[in-house]
Amino acid sequence: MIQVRVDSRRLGEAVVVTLAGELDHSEAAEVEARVRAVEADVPPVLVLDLGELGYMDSSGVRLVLEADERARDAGRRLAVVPGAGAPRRVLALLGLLERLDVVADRDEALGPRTSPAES
Amino acid sequence: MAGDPPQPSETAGMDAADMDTADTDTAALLTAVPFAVCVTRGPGHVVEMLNLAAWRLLGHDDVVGRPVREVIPERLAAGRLELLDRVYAGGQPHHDPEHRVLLRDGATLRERFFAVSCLPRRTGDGTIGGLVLTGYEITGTVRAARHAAFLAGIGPVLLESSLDETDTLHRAAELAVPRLGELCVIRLVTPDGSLHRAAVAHSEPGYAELADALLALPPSPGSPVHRALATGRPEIVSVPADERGRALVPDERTADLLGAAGITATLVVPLVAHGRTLGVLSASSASPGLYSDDDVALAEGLALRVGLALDAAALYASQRDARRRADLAGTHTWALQTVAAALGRATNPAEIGRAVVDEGVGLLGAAWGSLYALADDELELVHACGWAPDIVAAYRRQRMRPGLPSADAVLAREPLWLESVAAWSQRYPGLAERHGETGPEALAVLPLLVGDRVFGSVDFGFPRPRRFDTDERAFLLALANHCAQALDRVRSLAAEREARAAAERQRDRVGFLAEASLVLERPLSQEQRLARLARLAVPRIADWCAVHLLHGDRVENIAVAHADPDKATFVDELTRRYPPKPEDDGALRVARTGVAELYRDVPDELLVEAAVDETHLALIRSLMMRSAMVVPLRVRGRSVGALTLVAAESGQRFDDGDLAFAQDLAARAALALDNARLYEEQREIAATLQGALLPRELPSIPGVELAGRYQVPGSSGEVGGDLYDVFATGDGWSLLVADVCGKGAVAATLTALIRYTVRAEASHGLAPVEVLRRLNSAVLCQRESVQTRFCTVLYGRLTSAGPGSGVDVTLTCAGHPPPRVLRRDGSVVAVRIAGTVLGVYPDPVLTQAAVRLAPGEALVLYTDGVTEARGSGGFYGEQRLDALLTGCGSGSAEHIAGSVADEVLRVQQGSLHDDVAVLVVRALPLVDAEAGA
Repeated sequence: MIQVRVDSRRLGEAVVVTLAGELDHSEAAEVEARVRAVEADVPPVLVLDLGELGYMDSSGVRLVLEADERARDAGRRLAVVPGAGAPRRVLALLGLLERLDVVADRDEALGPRTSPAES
Repeated sequence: MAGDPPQPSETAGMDAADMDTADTDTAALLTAVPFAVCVTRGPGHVVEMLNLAAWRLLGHDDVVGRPVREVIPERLAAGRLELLDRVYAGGQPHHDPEHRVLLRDGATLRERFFAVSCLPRRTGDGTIGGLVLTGYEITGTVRAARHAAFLAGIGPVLLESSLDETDTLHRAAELAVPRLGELCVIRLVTPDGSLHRAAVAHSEPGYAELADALLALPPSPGSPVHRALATGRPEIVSVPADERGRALVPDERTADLLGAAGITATLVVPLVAHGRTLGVLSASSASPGLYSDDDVALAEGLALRVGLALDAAALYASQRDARRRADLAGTHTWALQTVAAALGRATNPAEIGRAVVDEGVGLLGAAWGSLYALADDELELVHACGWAPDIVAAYRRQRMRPGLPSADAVLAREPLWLESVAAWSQRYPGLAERHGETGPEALAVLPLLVGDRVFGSVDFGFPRPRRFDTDERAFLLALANHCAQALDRVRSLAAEREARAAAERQRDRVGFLAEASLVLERPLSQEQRLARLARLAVPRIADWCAVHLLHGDRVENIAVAHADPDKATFVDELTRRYPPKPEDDGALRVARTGVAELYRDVPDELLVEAAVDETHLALIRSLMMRSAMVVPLRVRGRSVGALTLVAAESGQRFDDGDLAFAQDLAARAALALDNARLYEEQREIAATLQGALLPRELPSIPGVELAGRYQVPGSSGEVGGDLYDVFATGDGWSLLVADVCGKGAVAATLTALIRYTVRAEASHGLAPVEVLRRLNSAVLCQRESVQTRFCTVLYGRLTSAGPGSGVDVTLTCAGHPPPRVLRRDGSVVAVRIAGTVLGVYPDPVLTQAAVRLAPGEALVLYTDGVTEARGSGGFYGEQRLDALLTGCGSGSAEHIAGSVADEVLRVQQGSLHDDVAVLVVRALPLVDAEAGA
């Protein structure tokens, strides 16, 4: 049974990876392989959109943390869209919303980084 | 001033008579400050003034007016005087924040640390006239920092290793050198009470000989090692300089070695885990000033961690062994199926040869293999794999005479196990000589038998010596049995048409065996599997099938099957009404002796003989038994029960081929059962390892009631990643609940690291946030070797003044679900404390919060296995947890913890998906405490 759906699309210089459904340890390896495949194309910005995930456990957290570490090593920006549901709750509990590059939605991630200050 | 003669009378320290007011203040200040100050004059650094602290360091009176070189010990002069010259000449101040000096303290030298400064003094015209030297002692801080860094570094190093005992001990010994001395020896207590050398580490190769000599000393009840073992406390032996090593050891040579190595003291600490002394760690030092109380505490810290790491290593090793055996049994079952499938398709001996030899070589990791068929008193090579062409040519045909392995195995009808070259050359000196260099080191030769008929032999050679253990012998025999039956089948195929029908049946049985294997691998209880096997056997193999298991001197009937269920019930009742006498019970006899029995015919006389009375005879006659066989169920060479097959309505008569087949079936059933048992054993060991990571019992704290629950998903057989702990810390108590991302041995390593690091750090009297910060560093250290592992932790410090006075808890939280406080009025408050998960960032945000529990109120700590539990009604969540807690009202801590644990199980219909840990702390009201007392 496939519980999680992974969709990736290129928008300008960024690649947006959208996860939907439920993400737990039984599928984390599969999702990680997809994320790594996207990273292999060396996009300058990678957006992980978790907004459509109804469930995410610690293996999902590990996926995000490892993608973040790889992004830092590669000098890439990793923006995370936590949405309003389970992923936001989990990341907030772990104190990670303040640590990750968290954006409200993919448009905020795709716009020029200085835009909030300018507007 | 430079060049002025010394003026002792003016500079006699703190005499204020010749000084103005400012100087008087300065003098008073200098006397009061807690650091050493010394003022010198001129290029010769003549001491002009020094305060009390500096005077104490120098330790003698006659200082003022004399050059520094005369007033400090020669030992300390090297380098330091040049430094004074340099500052005097160059005018650049010199600062050293951590300056190490060896200072005399009574008879010994002690290592001390100072933050020192050397500043130039300038006269009115800007030229340098002298120096101001200051020194602030930081020995305590430096030692404490080194101490903490050393202990924090140990946990990861010991636990990240492969959880292997030898490895762990070597790392531990290496950690001790040079911090605890030049030589470190770890000895373990063996089961017979003696000590054995486990690890030695030293700073120079020269110490190896000394280590050997010390280890060779005969045991003596008065030695420090034995005293430490007996008392469980550290022992220190110092050696006065004049007696050298003789105080330590009675043996002259060892004493000389000790003296030559300059050893001045030895420290022995016991290695203890779970209250059991596992061994001793001894460190010997040649450095002056070692083995202060700090060093002993450090050694005890190391010993504590080594003890716990050893404990974990032992459990891990037994788990690994159980897993290896389970995996091997699984591989064997799978291998037999693979070969059976290939044999099922084979229609001639060459195909059988390829199926058995080529597959067998691959599955066993053998390098050579061959199959011989017996024809007209000669063994003829059917198929060979791995042998050189000249060997194949030389042994293509073998006469049936003793002297060669294949012929010997066939003649004796016994397998031949040659496990090493030594075994070879003893039995076959000629052969070993001929191809000892390039041939196999180990060889197994198996006769191919079906009943009392022999078909040839199969052999497998291995490039390394190999111990054919019970498991492997059973596997090879089963393989040979398959091969013999296949040969029998294809021979029959080549024979008459009637025999062909029998062969078809045999072929069908291979399919049956595959089906039987599937049934046997189902995750059911032993009894259920055997019952299914019995049902599967009727009516394809026999009309009746029964399975018995041996219990002591009795057999228990596990299953009876007949194609017609009514008949099976009938037999059940029959055996209940007329239990067979032990001497007549075939199943019992076969189960006990392990020898199969075949009744080609069941004549009426046999029934008459077995019947108790007329009714009984009529009943057993109605079963219409024609032919029967009883074969033992053997596991690891031991018979555990019997499989009975009876032919009735079908009129079938069993022969040797049927018996061989039944034995094969029984062998598979036994292997599968054993397999299941090994997995069960592995699950139990995982549970034991888990137990080692949890407190065995919670401490009893006056005025406080504690309860803990821990549950892991039952089916996984893996160690979980949750943890709780309560332990004494200084004047209070520590509470710990943690959740590690992941499961299994790797997670257990981190769980162990958390438990031991928090226990160690908490004992230093640090604030809760600082304890977690140090834990974070330790977890990050470990990350190098393991993939990302993070953990959420809740840690608190608890104090209570006793029953009826309430409880104070200071909590800190690293990304962990918020604990709840159950108030007296039944309301529930979540304690939300911001904090970052540990093991990810070097600088986690951590804050603390104070919680006060009035008498009767409870604090509930838990892991996310509670709130993230998923049932048919969605997530369990915080709201439902709060409602449940409200319902617990003024119940005891046990009641609250039990209610939460039961509820989590109930929500998930009894099958957990994640670990669950719950820890409840309740402030006892005065009445409860009195009732309890």
